[in-house]
Amino acid sequence: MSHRKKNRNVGIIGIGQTRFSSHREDVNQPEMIHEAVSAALKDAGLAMKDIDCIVHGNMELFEMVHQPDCWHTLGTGAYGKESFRITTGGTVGATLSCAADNLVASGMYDIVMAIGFEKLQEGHTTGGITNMADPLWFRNLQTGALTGSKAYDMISEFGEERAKKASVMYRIIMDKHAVKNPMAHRAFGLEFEQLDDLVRTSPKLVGDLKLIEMCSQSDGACVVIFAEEKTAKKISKKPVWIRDHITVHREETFILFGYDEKHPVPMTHRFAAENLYKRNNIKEPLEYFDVFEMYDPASWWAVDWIRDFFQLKDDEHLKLVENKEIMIGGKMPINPSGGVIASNPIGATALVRIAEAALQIRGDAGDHQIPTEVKHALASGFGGTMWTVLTMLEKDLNW
Amino acid sequence: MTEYWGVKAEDIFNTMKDRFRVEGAKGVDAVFGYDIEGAGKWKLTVKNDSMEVEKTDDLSGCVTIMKANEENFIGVNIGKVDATNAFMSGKVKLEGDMGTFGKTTKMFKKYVPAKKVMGTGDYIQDMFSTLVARFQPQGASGLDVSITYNIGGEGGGVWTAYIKDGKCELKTGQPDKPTTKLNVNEAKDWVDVMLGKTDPFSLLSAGRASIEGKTEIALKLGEIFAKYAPKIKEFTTKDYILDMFGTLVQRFQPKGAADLDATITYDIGGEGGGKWTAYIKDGKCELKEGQPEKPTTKLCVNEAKDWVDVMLGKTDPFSLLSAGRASIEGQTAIALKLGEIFSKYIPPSSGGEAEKEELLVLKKTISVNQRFATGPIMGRFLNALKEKKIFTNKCPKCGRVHLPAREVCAECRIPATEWLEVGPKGQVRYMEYVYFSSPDPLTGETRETPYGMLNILLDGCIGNDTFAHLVRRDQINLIKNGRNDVAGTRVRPVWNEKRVGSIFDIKYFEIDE
Repeated sequence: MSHRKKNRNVGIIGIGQTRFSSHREDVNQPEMIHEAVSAALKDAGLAMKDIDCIVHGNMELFEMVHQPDCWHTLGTGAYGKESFRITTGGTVGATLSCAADNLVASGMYDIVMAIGFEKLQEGHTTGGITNMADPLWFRNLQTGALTGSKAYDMISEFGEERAKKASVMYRIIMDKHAVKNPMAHRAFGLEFEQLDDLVRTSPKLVGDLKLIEMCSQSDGACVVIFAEEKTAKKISKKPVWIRDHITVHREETFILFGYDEKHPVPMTHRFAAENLYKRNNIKEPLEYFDVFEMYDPASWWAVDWIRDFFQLKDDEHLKLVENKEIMIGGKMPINPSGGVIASNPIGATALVRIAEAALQIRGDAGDHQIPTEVKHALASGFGGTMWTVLTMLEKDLNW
Repeated sequence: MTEYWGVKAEDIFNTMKDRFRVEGAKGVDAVFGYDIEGAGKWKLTVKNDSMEVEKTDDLSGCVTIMKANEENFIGVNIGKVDATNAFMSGKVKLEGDMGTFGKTTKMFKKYVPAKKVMGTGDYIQDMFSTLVARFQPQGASGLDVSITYNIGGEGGGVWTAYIKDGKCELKTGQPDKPTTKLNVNEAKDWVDVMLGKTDPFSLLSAGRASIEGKTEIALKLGEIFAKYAPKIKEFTTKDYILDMFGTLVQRFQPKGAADLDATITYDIGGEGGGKWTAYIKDGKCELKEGQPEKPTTKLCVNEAKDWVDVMLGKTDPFSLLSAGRASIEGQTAIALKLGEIFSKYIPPSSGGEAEKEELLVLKKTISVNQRFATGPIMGRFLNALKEKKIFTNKCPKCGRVHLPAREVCAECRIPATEWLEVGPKGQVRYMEYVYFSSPDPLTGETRETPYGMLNILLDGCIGNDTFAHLVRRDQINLIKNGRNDVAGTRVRPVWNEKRVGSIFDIKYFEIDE
């Protein structure tokens, strides 16, 4: 995998999000996007005329609108500007950030605005996901985005009681975080005392994947503005620097299971993390990063992926969850925002991870701000059938 | 036993018999238990077209037991608490057979509380239960205070908001010395203030309210808390239906019904639905649940949601009728006059005034015929299914076999040229046990649950090159997964008589023993 250093440094100088909710019937798509665009411009202290280029993305055809960027021009402000549409499934939000970063780093544009949105309520989420499957044979077999396979894996590895508790513990921690985030869609007010109850009584969806453990379907938009170093320093008091990002895809497959240790299945998360850390000389990611905004569509996946992303062994990831080290104030706070499990406007979701990681570095996350200084942040995107995008964000330009 | 929203838990149980829908209970033979914290236990016995409900201490023999506290149980029943949220967050729990319990939702018509208009007590309760949510930290920066509300009269009580470090907590009762204490003699007055009908200064000057302690804090209340707005946003179909029929008599216009002597039955199906009849005679209107033997006019709507959309002006009734989603029995002319007989329904969200501009939601259904070319590789794989054969192709470099056959090995990036017949029998490596079926958006059909989707390692395949298919429905509980060297359940395909070259030339796999 060849990889070159950037031509120019790139910083995040503006962030805007809408509130995430199951219903935004009060606005149409361009209007909803405009809320986030306005918020980001205000945050950056810029006007639309200052933006050189726009990258726009969401899930392809989830709302059954072809080329939504045409319609959305009214809300994005892209009229008369350079504009690109990007759609890479669940990772799209992260890919928007990668593209904006590359466009600025290349020297083509000084200020680029990335816009991720989704109005799941206006389309059919499972329909969209089903349409992703190979139409020649798999469409009628697959079960949407739901799978119990990770639960089965973890139960096989760590035993039923420990695995189930870890998954629900993770879920409760995410809810504790979501309660602090006014943008979050689902914030139930779960308590740790409910753990055993939820393990026992939350209805099963597929296998041991329970209702409480699965993410929601949300409406919402997120906008992040990127600028080259000089401009960023001029405009923003606290630019957040994009150090590096990596994208790893696998072939389209819904058969991700590796039930034979003689035939290990390569995991894109672990592979992406390994390569990213290697080329940035990060020896101990768990020590290096101060916060991780993870694309966590379900709590089983989330717990398991902590192991992949931080290159952990055995049950180290379980211990992080069990000891609440992933909570705000813990050793490695994960998703102070409440994560995807709390809010999932898919096309915006992965961009929200980057936006939230940047807010943490700036110290502007409000009630869900980590109390200690955040210098190094990691954000992940997940999508397709097994795609990964990882982004490293830094407070200082010192690598 | 406590009242919530003017309803007691026992009201809901005591009306079950009247609300029982025989058609929803067909084929059900089960005993359900309800364990309502603070209110007691009830046992519901359903046997085909009959039911019994009794208060009891013994819930043994119940297939499912629902557990909740009174507030959540009542809230869910009357639509004040979002059932999905309550269920997901564990506030309402089900123990035992969840699938069977699900049928109870179709078995009963919606509980309609006797009190249809929000009373003073309801408003007061709603105001204080939303107070913390309405707290605005920016309006309270630097404040360290306790604000006591001492509300007298019916529906009143004493509450204290403790504000510190940009956080707000509400407790009932009051501390020894609250920073500020607001005394209001009559709860109704306070409701009027909160709804913007009266201004607080006239209450104070009339001596109907008083402030003790720091007055300046009381003057800042508008900054500390966001304006109270009666619940509007999260109106569900059920709420709308309830509200529509709750306000029907008020909306009756004698002028539009002069000389009319008629009974109009609304038979609304689906979630939130029910049967109501308006009896109109001598310029008067009365609403009752149920229907007379022969109503003058009967409006049948299959889905409550559709009716709500009609009433909110989002859909027009004629498209419902023409789509067969609604029908009229008896005198059609009266149905056409409904707009004169009753004034337009205005949802509470608009604060009692007609919205100046209505927000619409346009509905579209897309149906597209699609054709996909298979190409030669998938073509060969699919054609072989006609002959009851399963073909794969092997990567010449890594030896991986693909199921179904693939054009190239994605990992080695070279064409997979060598064809290989595998299976058709094999062992299960993993089964997705699916309890929740997503509807198939292409057909609109929902699979019957539970069902199983298998990953089968067909004989001749290695590693993780498994094949996906369904398992015979009655065998899902007999399947064992394989792992490492341990083999899973052996299965074989069951082929369709007529085969067309589709993945469903195989009906499903069944246990091979």
